[in-house]
Amino acid sequence: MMVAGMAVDDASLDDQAAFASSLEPLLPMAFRLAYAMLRRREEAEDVVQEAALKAWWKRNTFRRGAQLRPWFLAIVANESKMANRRAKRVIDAAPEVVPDDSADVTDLRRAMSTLDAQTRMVLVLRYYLDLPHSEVARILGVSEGAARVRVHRALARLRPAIDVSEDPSYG
Amino acid sequence: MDENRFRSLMRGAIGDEAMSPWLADAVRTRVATARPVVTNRRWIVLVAAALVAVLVAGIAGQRLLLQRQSNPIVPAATPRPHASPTPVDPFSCRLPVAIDPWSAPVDYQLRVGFLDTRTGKYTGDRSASVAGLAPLSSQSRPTSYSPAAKRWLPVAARNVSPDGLRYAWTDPSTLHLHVYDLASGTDRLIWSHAGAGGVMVWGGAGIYVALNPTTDSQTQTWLVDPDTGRAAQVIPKSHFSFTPLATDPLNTGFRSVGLDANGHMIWWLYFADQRGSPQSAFYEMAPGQRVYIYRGTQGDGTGFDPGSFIDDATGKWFSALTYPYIWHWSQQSGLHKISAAGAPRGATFMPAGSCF
Repeated sequence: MMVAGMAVDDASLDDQAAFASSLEPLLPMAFRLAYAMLRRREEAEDVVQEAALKAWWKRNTFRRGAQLRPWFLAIVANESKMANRRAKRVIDAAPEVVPDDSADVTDLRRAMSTLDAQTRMVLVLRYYLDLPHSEVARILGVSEGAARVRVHRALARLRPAIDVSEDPSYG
Repeated sequence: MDENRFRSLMRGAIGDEAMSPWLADAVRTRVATARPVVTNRRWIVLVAAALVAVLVAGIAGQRLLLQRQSNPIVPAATPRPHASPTPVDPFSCRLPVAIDPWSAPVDYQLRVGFLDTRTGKYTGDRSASVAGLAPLSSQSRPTSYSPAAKRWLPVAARNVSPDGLRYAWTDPSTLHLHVYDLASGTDRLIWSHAGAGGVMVWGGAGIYVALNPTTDSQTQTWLVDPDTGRAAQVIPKSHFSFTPLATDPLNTGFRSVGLDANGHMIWWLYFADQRGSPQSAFYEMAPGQRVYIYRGTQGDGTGFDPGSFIDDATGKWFSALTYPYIWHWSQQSGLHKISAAGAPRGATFMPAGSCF
């Protein structure tokens, strides 16, 4: 099987066990994405499982020969948003102040807590998972240019608490 | 600031949580055993069949229902996790608890405390401290409480020995397993292994340690003797899967709630998107032989939605993911809810030690 977490061969799309194996290298990143959005380990683990199951059911929407990672992370992102909506608790409450954190981290937590889920998702994909604009675009289902704009706007939403200079030369 | 500095801040703000070691196995099992989605045409047939079944059930149902009510299903008896020399009444004791920091903004000093299980009143412990206890780190903070040692500890309650006088901790970057003896104040490295992982639970048989899966290997579980450091690899499949039953609802999700002190994995079956769908929590005594902690349906009013649990002499204490409840379960008394009062709005609690 040709997998390595990025591409998947045709046979894996027809065999449940092979399909599950092809998802496996992507799970740590999928979990990090869900955790960053939900901030609860249990819910993030639920979301990753739901996403894996839905990926299997929706495998006919996967374009053969394409990269598996953005396709799967898009499902995880969607499941995370749905889980966010389902949760009755307020996860955007002002975060705790941990004495050992630097002032910048505390400022960022505060600023992130004021963002809507979609904006937070953009920042998580780009700066927590370290994905290039092209992959952020595929996960969000927008053009690469639109992804760049969304990242730019998301960073603007953090000001004045956090002011980031974007590096135009980085993917 | 530049983007690299911002990336570093993002990691600091969100944290670098690693996924649970069982998750890869759970995903593999779930996808490999996924049943097809019911199509519209199948729905029509199923609905028609259900209507017929309802008619038939209407004739015989009442009688059957009455029989069931007079003969409730009781799970098979299993040994208690720990025998207690002095019995504690789980409904009249002090349960150490910690407020889930993401559930409500809570002052650091008030995040741990005690829940009076008779009244449900929560009292934060402002004097909680883990000063001087290993691991000596600025990140250490009160996390669990040992009634035997009468002090807060910097590790999860699951890392504490059954007698409450020692605890296990690992260095997260390199899997070095330490045991700290509270009586003597000594810390000992007892076992090391390549890779990353952590303590699952300190049970009656020893310390269960999970190694995270890598691209080359699956999850491994080791049982380490806390006295000698001898370790044996235990069969992973017995911990990371369960035997599906024909009566399980279609396409149900599941997750592990954790390993109990007897080495049984507790599973939570649910369907997140469907109100009224069956859900249950159980462990297996043998393949296919389940001991149910809870069986119900989503939205059935009980609100049981387990997050984590610990064992003590009285049974098992479960946290609730969404509500300010703590749940107690034992085979003798079944499942009971304790509603907490006196905590910040929205706060949810995690059990943090044996009730005393």
